[in-house]
Amino acid sequence: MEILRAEHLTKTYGKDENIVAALDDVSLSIEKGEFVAIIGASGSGKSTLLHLLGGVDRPTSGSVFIDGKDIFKQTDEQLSIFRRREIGLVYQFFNLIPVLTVVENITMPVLLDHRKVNQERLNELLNILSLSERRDFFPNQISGGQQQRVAIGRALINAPTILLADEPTGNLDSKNSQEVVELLKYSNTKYNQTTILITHDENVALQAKRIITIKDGKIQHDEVIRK
Amino acid sequence: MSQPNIVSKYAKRTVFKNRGRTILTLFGIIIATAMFCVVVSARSSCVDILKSFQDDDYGTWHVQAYSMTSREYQQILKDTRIKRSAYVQEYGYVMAANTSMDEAELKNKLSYQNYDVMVASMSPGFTDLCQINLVKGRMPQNENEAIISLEMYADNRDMIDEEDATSYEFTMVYSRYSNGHKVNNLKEISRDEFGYGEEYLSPLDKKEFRVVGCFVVPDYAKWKNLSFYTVLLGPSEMTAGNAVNAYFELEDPASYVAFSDEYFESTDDCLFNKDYIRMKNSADDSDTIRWIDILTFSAVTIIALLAVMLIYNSFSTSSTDRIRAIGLLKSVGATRRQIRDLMLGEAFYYVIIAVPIGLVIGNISAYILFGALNDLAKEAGFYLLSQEVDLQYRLGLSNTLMPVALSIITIAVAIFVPMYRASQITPIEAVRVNNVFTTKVKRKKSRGLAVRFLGFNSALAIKNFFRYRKRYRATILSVFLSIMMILFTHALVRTIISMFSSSEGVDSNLLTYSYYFGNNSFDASDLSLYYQLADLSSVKDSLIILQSKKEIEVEAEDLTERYRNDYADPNIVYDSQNGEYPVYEDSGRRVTNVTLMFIEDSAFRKICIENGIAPDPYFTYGSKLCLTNNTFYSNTDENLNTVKVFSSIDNPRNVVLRFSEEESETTPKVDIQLTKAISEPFSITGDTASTMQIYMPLSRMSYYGVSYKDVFEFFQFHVSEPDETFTQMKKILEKNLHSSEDLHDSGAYARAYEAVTTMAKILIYGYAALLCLICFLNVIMTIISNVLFRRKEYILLMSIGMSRRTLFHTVILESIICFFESLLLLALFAGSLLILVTMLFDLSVISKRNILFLAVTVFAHFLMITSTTAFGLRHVLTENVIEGVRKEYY
Repeated sequence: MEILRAEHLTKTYGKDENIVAALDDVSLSIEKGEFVAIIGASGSGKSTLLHLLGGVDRPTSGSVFIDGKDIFKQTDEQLSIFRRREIGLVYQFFNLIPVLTVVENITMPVLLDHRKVNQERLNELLNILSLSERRDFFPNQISGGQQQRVAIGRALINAPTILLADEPTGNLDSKNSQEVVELLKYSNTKYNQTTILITHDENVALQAKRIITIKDGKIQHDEVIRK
Repeated sequence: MSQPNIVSKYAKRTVFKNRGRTILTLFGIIIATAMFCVVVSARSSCVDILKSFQDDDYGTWHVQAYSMTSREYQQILKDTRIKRSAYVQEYGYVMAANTSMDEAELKNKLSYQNYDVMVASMSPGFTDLCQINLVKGRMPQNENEAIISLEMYADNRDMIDEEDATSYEFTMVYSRYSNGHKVNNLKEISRDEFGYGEEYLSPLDKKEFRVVGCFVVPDYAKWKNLSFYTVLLGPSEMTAGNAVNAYFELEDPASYVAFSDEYFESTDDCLFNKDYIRMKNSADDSDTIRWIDILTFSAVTIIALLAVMLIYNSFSTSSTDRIRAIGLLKSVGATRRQIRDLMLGEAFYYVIIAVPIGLVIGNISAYILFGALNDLAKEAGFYLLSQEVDLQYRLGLSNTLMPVALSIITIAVAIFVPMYRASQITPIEAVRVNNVFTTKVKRKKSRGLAVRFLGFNSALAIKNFFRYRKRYRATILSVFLSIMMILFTHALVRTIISMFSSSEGVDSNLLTYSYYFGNNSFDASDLSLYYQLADLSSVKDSLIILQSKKEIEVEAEDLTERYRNDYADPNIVYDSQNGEYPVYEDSGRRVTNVTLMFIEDSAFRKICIENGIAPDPYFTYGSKLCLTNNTFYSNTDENLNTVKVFSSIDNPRNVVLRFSEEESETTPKVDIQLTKAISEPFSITGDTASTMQIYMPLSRMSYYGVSYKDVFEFFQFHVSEPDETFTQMKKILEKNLHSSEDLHDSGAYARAYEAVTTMAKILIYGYAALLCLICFLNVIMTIISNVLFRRKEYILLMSIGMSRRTLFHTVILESIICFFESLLLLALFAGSLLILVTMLFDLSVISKRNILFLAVTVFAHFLMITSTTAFGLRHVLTENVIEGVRKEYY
């Protein structure tokens, strides 16, 4: 079942002779429960693509359909609500709120939505992420790996339609990197969580079920490596 | 279980985590709220004072209805809008018997009336509503007692005095047109072409009363009519037929227009106590209140503007520093409204913490300040306004709510733009922002030159300054405003002081007794009186001066050029008595008036010694020597100028002093020798200020043959307690059968002006100091937050080999450049500001004293900027370099 479809996505920066196309007429389709890795050289446009797929940035042209709905036809307000309910984002630099505890960072999307936190799911996530002992710690009191796990927890707490991870291992050592990838795989398997991962680490990419290679803002390869 | 509000939690933790910025912002809001509180309290206290003036002069009534019938009065009383009422009923006018004034004089005074005394009576409780200023005796208790007007008392009309019993036969009483109704049951009357009612007179009966006091007929009393010769009887019930002047106090003062419209045909029939109504905030036209409100509004606006700048800067810096965090919130689904709520939440914490503290501090400050200023206000009010000024602090609901409202509005205005900007931050910015590398760098061609001439560090400092210029903007503006404020304040205070320059140099503890001898001579009894007064324990120093005005012959070339050109044109014989041309020609002689002062010998010796002059030669029999105060005081354009009269007084010269007004062969002419010019050793009162003064010992009076008769006698006392001593001296003078009216508290005005200038200094300097403090807080906050914002950059520079010392110098240099940009701004505005300052204030900006003041002010700001930067850097550079590089700052 198709969960995400991008049609003729283009994103340009600058004007006139200084115009740069970060993404050039990209179209793709992702099925529910897929684990997709997007790889490419630095500056190839993979992060831009991820931000457009997550509704974080708006394209110069083209559309993104999630569950059949064109997300960019929504207002900024609607898009914010859509993001907190349907999209989970994990960044390379964790991007945690330093004055909030582990639990508060994880539950933030739910609380922003003025909904009640599902304690069962929260505890389950804390267990999976091995953060039960650190639940009331602040980000500066835990390690980089733990911080990234908090970011993953925050992305998963709402059981989003799609989990987008932008080089989640880029700032971690190999041990922590492997742990993070295992977590993403685990959520993909356990919750049938559609996951799109950006990386330039081939080993990480190989653990996905499908690899899309981007070069100069265009899809160069799109290959399913595992069912 | 309710879910925690993550936005407010984040707001709260942000406020408490960023302690430095929070404390500075809170401090600023506390100062602003406290200042709002003091200003608002001062405004209400000033209005209270004016209200009390009005109460004292007018009473608390709102509407006065003029000349109505008793029936009309009773009708109006049924109106529920009336809270209280009182009236004066007119019995009539009579021709007073036994008048000491001749008929012609009386006719002239009374214009066309044949009768001159008005007789009226008060209603019971009249004085509760209307103010009667009793100058003598007591208020009448019943209609058989009366008070008479001050004019009657002063003119000794009817030879009546306190406790005299007298009677008036009301042979004539008049009735007056009133709203078309007849009065006194007389025939219908009509208005004449000028709108006045005809008056009919009819006989009444005789009335006896006892005079129990004397009062000043109040200005507000329409019934005072023509003569001011009024007899006001004690409380009596209303008699039908008498014209009634009624006073109404309304439940709602604002309804005065509707009330009067309903009952009175025109404003001729009624009078409003407008100032009183206005002070109850129920009227919209006012001069006094308007000026107080303009002053209050200006003071509040300036405070609010600076507070807005501080709070805006705090929130703006906070949101800029947190672009990443705010962007992140947006990326995980926070809406714009939630971001706005986040900023509002932070503002809310500022409000709930700072505003109550500010309110408490403000109220305590107002209480202390008003208490401290009250004595000064009383001193100034008593002598300058002839009113009792009681500057009282009053804790009221409006005094509490208004500062709170002003603070909240200030904070709301200040956070509006940062809040809007924060809500516009896009989530993509969360990903892109990196503290160090986001600022746009413009390539400057001059960079190479800067490096070559100034060295790498200086060039880097210049480059960094321009790179972070936006962040320095608040610092530049704050320093500029702070310096400007100090200069303006200084100018304003100097202007206020110069307004009272005429009292400059006048001894504020000086009491004088002056007496013109006329046909009497200064004798032993006068000397005895002098010693009785001088022996009072509070008298620190005393002096007898016998003063006489004489002519002195002068040569034009002896005069200073300015005196000759501006004041003494010898070619024009003018009215020298008016002081237009003090030197004039008289029978071919060129003469000027001088004030000749014979000073008691011991005091004269003292003056000589104080001025470093040997006194003995002045006492030698036949000596020509005299001291000269070579100063002419000229009061032009409200400024007191001192002009030297003689150009070469230091060289002894003989001038002729004449001792008779009439020129004749026998007119005694004395050749005296002007010697040393002394600075005025004591404050001289009387008419001596505009003429040159010559001092001689008292013992030489007889030698010159000066008559004791044509002199003024001055006793002059420097005392420690002027008010108490004044009372004691009055008693002594009266005991010696001397008029105490000739005793003057000559230092009173000086004390009053001193009080005003002291108050002005305290209020203006205090106000400006607190405003400067807000500017300082802004400077400190921007500098510290800038240093903290760039700490990773500093640490990276250190990690690649820049020494701590070099880095320190580079950053300090940046702040110095910032300081000079403030000065540049100041210089750019200086021209127009200079014109403005000199237009608004009488300020000699170029004076050495002001340049020194400016230099000190500028240097203090320089120190503040550099020391704050150094403090911030010291704090940042204590971090371990590697730790710093690793650390991820949010």
